[in-house]
Amino acid sequence: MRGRLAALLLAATTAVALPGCATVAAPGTGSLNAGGPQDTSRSLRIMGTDFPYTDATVAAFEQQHPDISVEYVKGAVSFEEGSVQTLLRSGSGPDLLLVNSGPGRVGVLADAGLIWPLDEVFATNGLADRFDPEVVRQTRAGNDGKVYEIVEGLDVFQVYYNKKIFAAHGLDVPKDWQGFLDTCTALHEAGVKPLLAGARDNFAGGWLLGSLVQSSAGQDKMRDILAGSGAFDDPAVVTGGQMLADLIERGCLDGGQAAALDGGQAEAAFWRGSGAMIVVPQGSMANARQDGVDVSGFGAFPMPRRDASTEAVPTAGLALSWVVNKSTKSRSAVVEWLRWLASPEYLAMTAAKGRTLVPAQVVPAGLTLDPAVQDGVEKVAKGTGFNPSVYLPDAAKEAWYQAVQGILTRRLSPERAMQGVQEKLAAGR
Amino acid sequence: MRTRTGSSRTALIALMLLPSLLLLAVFLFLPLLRGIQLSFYTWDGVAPVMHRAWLDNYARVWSDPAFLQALSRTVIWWAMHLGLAVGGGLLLAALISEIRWRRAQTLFRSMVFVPHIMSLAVVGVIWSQLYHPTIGLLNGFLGAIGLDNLAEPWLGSTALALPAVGVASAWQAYGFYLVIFLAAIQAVDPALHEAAAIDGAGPWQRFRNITVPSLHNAISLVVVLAFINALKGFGTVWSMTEGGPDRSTELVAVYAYRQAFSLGDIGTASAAGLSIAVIAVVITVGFNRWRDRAAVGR
Repeated sequence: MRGRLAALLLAATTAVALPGCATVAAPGTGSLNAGGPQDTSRSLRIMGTDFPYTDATVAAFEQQHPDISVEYVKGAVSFEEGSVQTLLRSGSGPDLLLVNSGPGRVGVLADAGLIWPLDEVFATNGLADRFDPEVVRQTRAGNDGKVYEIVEGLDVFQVYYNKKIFAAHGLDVPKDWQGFLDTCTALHEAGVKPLLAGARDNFAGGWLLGSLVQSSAGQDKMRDILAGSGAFDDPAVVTGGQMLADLIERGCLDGGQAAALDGGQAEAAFWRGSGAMIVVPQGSMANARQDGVDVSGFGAFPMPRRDASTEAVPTAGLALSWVVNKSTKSRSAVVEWLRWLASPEYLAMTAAKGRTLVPAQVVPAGLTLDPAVQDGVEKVAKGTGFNPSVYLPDAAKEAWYQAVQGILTRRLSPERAMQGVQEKLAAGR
Repeated sequence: MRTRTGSSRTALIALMLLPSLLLLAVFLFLPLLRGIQLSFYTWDGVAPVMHRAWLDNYARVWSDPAFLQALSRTVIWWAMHLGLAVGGGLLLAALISEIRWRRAQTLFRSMVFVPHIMSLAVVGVIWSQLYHPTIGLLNGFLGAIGLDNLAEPWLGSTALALPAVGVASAWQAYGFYLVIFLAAIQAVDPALHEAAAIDGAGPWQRFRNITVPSLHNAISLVVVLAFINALKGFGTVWSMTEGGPDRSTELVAVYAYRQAFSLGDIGTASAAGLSIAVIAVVITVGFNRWRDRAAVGR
């Protein structure tokens, strides 16, 4: 009996596991609508982040379009945790999703045919004119060069510093890398934590190392590397990793503590005044202001360049993007939502109700944004560098995060750490 | 007549089993078969087609140093789980069973079971805060008693993170084992303890020579459960460290998750998951056979 059961299980497994063809349809494929969006429904299911302005923007949209009903499911959907792929592959996922941006995420969904290319929507509705051309260029994430996402906002990463701590120790904003090191050393010797970081959940560690790598290599070289015409084990990039190791070596950054804290914990500690500096996006300060923190005693500056003769610029990256489920049955309603996202009214409403991301849209004169967000807008206008986490494909991004943790815990040399990223990047390409 | 009665009885049994079997089929057998299938294919989790890889995924997994390190960490994790959760549960069960006031015993039993009914995410958050390097209770306590030099970034140290998370996981689990041990201890004939006490045996001697041998079956069960629970160690690790720092808390379950969702390699993730499942089955069956033989030998 036992033998018969085992044989039956083996036969069933073999039958399921190894059908004749070398290539088979992936699970869930049968439920997908290969023909693209249909237009048989006037209801929209949207899944995305719960912004302070979400309810207001949904209500305004429904008021403008009484024939369209919107169900906005609040909650982060993540490519890294598999929820985006699962929702899209189910064939009955939301019509629109707000996801983390970038080729390593949206590009993969595009290449798999799970999301709808938006070039035609852009062309027929004049949406391209509403967005920063550089942002639109970066959203051509798929191998076919089409636009697959509408960017909700960008992040601009700078060194935020505590003015009171700086003043108490007679320090000014450093102008170059040596000045930054001197500032850190002075603070460390005075018993102040010079630099805070929280790398446990990876993102924030990537922001810090990304800023240091750009400080060393410059934004042009980083653009080339991320575009595929350079290598992560370039000496200039390795030097960026060495700068992180130097900060730990000099006591400017507690590597163990940075590895123990997550990004949110490190930010909370910084806004409480537990450290002098931190590398975060504008949204951190804007959120702190909304949470009632007196942020007047804080300022920001781009990570100084290693080469003192060149001007420092912040790193930046696409943050969150709207993508359209290719299996949607509400095509015209989706287009109306996309037109709404691109409208000046939407931008104004989000600005008035607590927008913390730098808009991807062209910002009209006179629009009042949170000062930190406005600073981000101005920095983007002047030119910014790149947050590698957004632009690296998934395996290389994972290696990038490993590089951060490896250097923080002193288990990886900067050379080996960057070689690891380059190996994954080369394999991915 | 007897045959008809037998048939209708069989039909009734089948009918009553059907809902459970359906649930098992939908939520266990079909996913298991799908997992086996995926382990033989290369798939990134989003592409419309999968390519057959035969045993390549298994070869890649078993030649991946990260998997082998995760496997060795899982063994350490299991040993910690056994020592802290099972050992701690047994010790506390013995102590609680000594409480003669029944209400107090019930109170203690309920209190120690509370962590087990908490979600792993909540346990992770609680212990992350306890281990917080600057505002955590643990470092705060060490500072308060003048042992600042022992304060550590517990979850940020590659040497300390795994034991730190292991303690949190054991805290969550030991109440469950304790209840099993307590039930078994209460089934031990009190006359044995009384006779031993009259013969001059102390509490430790009675625990070692009467209680522990009497718990043979309970210990066997708990060891198997602890082994399986340890292999599934994911929730606490992910909520506290996400496998870091620098992969120092990456168990096989975390490795499989990372392969699947961070690296988009469903095939190797399935191969890793099934490898560990096969190991679990082999060890569990082997252990049970050894236990049965030992029981016959006694």
